[in-house]
Amino acid sequence: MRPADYDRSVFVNCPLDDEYRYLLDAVVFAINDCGYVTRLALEVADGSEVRIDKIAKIIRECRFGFHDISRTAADPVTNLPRFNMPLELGLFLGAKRFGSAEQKLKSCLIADIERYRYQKFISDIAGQDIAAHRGDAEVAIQIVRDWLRSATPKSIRIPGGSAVHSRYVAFRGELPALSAKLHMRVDELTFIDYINQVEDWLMLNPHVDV
Amino acid sequence: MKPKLRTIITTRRAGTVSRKKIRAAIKAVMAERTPEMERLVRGEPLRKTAGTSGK
Repeated sequence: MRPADYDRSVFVNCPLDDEYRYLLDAVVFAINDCGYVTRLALEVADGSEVRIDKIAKIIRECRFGFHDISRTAADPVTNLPRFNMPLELGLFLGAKRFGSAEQKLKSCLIADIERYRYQKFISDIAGQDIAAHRGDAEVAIQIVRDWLRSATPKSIRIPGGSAVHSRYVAFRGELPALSAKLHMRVDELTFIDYINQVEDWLMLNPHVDV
Repeated sequence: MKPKLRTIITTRRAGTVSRKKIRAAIKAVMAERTPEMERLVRGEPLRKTAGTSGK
C-alpha cells in the first residue's frame, strides 16, 4: 500500500485472532472515523519479508500506536503466554526514545482489560497512559477516540465517542448485506477486505459538519 | 476559527474485491436504509431498542 502521512497513521498492536476480532474491528473503525489511518502487520502480504522487519517498517511510518496488552493468558495448547504484543510495544517505545526527531513525536495508548492490572506483569511501563477497555467494543471506541482527540490539534474537530459508536453500530448493521453483495460472509472477511469496506463506507458517509 | 472535521483518508490496499465494487455495494445498501439507520449514521444516540455491538 502507499504509505500514509506519518502524522495520521496509527499502528495497531493487538491479538490477531478470532477471539479478539470484535475489538479489533471496533478499534479500526474508531481510528478511521476520527480521520486517521490504521496500520498493522496483517496488511503486508509479502511472505518473503521477515515479520519483525515488516513490523519495524510500519512502526517507523506511524506517529501513533495503539497497544493492547490484555492477552496475558497461557495458550491452552502450549501452556505459555504469547509475548508479541509486549515486544511490539517495546519496539514502539524504543523508536520514540532513541529515534530521530520525528520518531520522538510518537504517542501511544496502552490498553488492557483493567487499568492497573499491568502492574502485575509488566510494571516497567508505569507512567505510560494506560486505559481499560474491559473487553467492551463501545468502551474501546471511546478510549481510542479520547486519545486521538488529545493528540489532535484543536483546530481540527474530532467527533464524540458516542457518535463514533452510533456510526459503528450502523456500519455493523449494514456489513452483512454489504458483504453479501460482494459474495462474501462477514466471518470470512480478511483484515484488508474489512478495512477497505470501513474506509469506503466512511468516505460515502462522512460526519455532518454542523 | 471554527474547528473543521478531517477528511477520511482512503488507502490502496489490495483486497480480494475491487474498491469500485465495494463502493457500488455500499451505495446499494445505503439506498435501502431505514430512518433509524439514517439516525445512527448521523451519529445520533442509540435508542435502547436498537441494541449495541459491545460484548
